[in-house]
Amino acid sequence: MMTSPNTMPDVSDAQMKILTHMEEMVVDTFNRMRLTCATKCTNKKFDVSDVIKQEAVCIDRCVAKYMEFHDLIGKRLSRDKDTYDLLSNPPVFEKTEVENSTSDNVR
Amino acid sequence: MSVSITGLDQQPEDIDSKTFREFAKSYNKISEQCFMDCANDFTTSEVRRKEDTCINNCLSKYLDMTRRVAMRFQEYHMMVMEPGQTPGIPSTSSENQSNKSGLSSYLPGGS
Repeated sequence: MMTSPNTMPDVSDAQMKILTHMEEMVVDTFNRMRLTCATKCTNKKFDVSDVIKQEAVCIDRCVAKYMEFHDLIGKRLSRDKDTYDLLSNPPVFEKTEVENSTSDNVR
Repeated sequence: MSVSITGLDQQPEDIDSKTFREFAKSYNKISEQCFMDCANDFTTSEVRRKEDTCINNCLSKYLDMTRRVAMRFQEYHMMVMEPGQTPGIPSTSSENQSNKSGLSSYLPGGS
């Protein structure tokens, strides 16, 4: 059975949400890396407006390093389920239903 | 009338996508933090052994601290919350209305 080349595979809503979150995560990584490497590599003298060669080389290395840090950390974080649970669930309280027993509002 | 503290009526897929989102946020924050603190040598683009140890230590510290903070946060709320009170939102009962000085309104007896 041939499928037309223009059809997308069926992606459920839930999967779309997760894909969107993954995209957001990549954008977030990029933004943080950008700020971090700019902070680390900028020569604080600011006597020229162009990026000098030394800074450019530093940025290249910084990006490579950041991505490797990112990968290493990701591997270690996803190694056990406890860590994933710890980071993915901010302390929410016991899932108990609280009954408001006063029925004075009912007229 | 019943009030649920957490969204019990969410679909499982929504919960999964929320937890992933939280994880992704935390992951990026840790990454940035540990990079800021551990990566100081830009003469090479490779990760050196010293930095590798630093990453391990940074990670375990961060996670231990997160656990501890979460534990104390929950203890605090269990200690001061009245039954029926929504966590994080000050009580609107009349005893507490007059005493509006932040945290002390949570403590039994007030100031």
